[in-house]
Amino acid sequence: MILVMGPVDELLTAFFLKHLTDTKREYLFVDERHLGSQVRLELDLPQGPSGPGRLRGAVRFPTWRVGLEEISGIYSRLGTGNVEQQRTPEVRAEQAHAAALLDLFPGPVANRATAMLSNGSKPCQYAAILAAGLRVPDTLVGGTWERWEPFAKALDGDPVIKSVSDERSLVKQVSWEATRASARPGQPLAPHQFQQRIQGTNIRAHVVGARHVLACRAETQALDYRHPDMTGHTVDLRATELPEPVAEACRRLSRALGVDLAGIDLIEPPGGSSRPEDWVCLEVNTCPGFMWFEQHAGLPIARVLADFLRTSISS
Amino acid sequence: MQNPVRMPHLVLVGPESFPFVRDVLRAEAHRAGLRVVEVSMREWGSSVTPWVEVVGGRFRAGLLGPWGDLELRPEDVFWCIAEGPLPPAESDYLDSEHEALREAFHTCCPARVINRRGLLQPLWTTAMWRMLAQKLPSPEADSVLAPPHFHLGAPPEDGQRWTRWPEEAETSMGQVWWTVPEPGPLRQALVVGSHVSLWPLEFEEEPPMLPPALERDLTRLATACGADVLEVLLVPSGTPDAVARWTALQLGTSIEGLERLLAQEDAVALAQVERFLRERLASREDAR
Amino acid sequence: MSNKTTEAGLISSQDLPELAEAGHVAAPTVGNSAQELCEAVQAALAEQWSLMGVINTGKKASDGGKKLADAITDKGKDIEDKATHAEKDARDEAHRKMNADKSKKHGREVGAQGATANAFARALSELRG
Repeated sequence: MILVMGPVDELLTAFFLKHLTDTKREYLFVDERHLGSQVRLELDLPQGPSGPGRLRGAVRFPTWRVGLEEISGIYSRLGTGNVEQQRTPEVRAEQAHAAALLDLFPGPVANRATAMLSNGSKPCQYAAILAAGLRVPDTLVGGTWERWEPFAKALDGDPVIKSVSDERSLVKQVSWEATRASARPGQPLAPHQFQQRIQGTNIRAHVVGARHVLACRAETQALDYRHPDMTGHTVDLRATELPEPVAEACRRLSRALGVDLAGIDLIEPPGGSSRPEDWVCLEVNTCPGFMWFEQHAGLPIARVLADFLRTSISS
Repeated sequence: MQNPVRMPHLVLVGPESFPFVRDVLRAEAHRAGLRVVEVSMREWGSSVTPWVEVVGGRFRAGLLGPWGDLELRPEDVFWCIAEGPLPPAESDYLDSEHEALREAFHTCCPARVINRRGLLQPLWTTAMWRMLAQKLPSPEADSVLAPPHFHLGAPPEDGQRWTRWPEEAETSMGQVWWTVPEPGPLRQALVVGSHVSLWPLEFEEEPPMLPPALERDLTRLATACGADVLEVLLVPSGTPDAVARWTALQLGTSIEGLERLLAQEDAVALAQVERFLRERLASREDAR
Repeated sequence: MSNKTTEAGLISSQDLPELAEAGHVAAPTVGNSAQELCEAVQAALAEQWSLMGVINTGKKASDGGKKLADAITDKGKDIEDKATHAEKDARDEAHRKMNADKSKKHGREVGAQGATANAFARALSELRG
């Protein structure tokens, strides 16, 4: 069965649970608010050869338990949904145990706690993106005005500014003059990320298990297609097939980052291309909110994810 | 020519806590013709800040400091020996941005980096006990190095002796218990590049020998962790006539053990680190 | 707000303010078996979708009224922003909470090796009995 962990009223958790229910898959759900009170995790990792059977343990409820050997894969939305919870030592301990389970479980996990971290710094991901064969936007993070000036002058148009971390930021295009006005000669610039605006079509590729690629095309005039309403633009999402070499680069990238569910933001060059080096990758979402894309583009992401987590219903 | 030949740099962050290692680094840098730039932990992130640029898929990175803008190039060597928290910024948002920039620098810096940090390096993102559990034993059948038996949750009542994972080893929110069958004396292995040495940490009548199988496993472990310099606490376990097995208890990226040995003027440790640095600091003509 | 069933239902970006604010469904009871848990999950899901307005029930008006009122007033834009950023928020929170176990991520080096070695030496004494 699939183990799902997260708050039941968090969108993605609920969406995936509903899919599992509707498709009569076997699952076990742990609501985050029960961790440390009604639900405890017990993990045992004896010495011995590495392999799938080494991790033993159980998800323990007050009157019943489910052994880890019954669990085929894990989908986690722990930490999402703004759950208000008293963080007692017991709660913190169980959250740490859950993070350990995600890291150590030998089967598929979407996603392991530490594998999600790469998203904390976009340039860190760029190293993996380039290694996978995709392009990244020309980018400057930090530095002084003296370094910024030649960088910006070499760009085609005004630079885009966004957060370098995974902190929430609305992508904006900033003018040369505005940035110069805020810069102090010889002083470091604020540590934001300046980069080339990339022309082309936004593509979101969800990669499941570093194997299945489900992509959709976002047609919009908005700079950031995820927030079209804020700029008065509309967005049209449509399922699309990636050229196989580009899909393969996405698989390589997911594998390199160790994520079983990735939301890869790509820009297809104008006129299209099947060469990965012509496609720009903006970032890899390691905790992707795939519901929006599934609903609007008809991509069967939940089904593919559930298949990947190896559910088989015997009823 | 306007530009004279640029002298390669050895940039050290946080060397002030390790004066004996620093002396060796300075001496070896001088010997190899590298200019040493030292950034204290206090300066790193305050008066010395990094930058990262990628243009056409090529990374450039550097440091802004009292000396101006120092770009680090492939012929340079960078070692962040220790770093602390960044000074608080004006907002949580900027705190995250500064932190992300520092991680970006660690990951993307094109210099030759010793013990590269960053968000793609599990040693810097994963709790140590989990690193041990993930990386050991190595899949090869001849592996002799294992993690302890770990248990999370209430302590098991199975007749074995169990103990809590020490807080000194790493703060953990979890209830992490561990045990080792028939533990022998505590020892420390020092993996420096491809060279390994083994030292007693508890009284032993004879200095411990380093079996080739353990040496092989320790270098495998350091490679699997992406570490050039790694201190490993370990114990032998099992009866003396049985096949010796070893349990790794802790992975250390701090170089306190090395510092202590150099402070004691240990010739073996000194030779080990000098050999490593000579290999690493050797100039690369193709990088000029 | 769209009145769609969960079977038919697309959730549009116009629904996002309500969706973001719908997070007040109680955790399902764990019951005495996997079967009971699944039934409780289904009940919780039905309640949540109804609060979101995906299922048009009378319950929505009573339970979700305050949230809906917020969404259509001038607070709506702010809430929408919050909702459309849900994915990023989720990721940020997940990172922070899931890595509370890792002190190094917060700028602390792993504790002094000397102290660590002493702690392990003490622990080994316990194990040796």
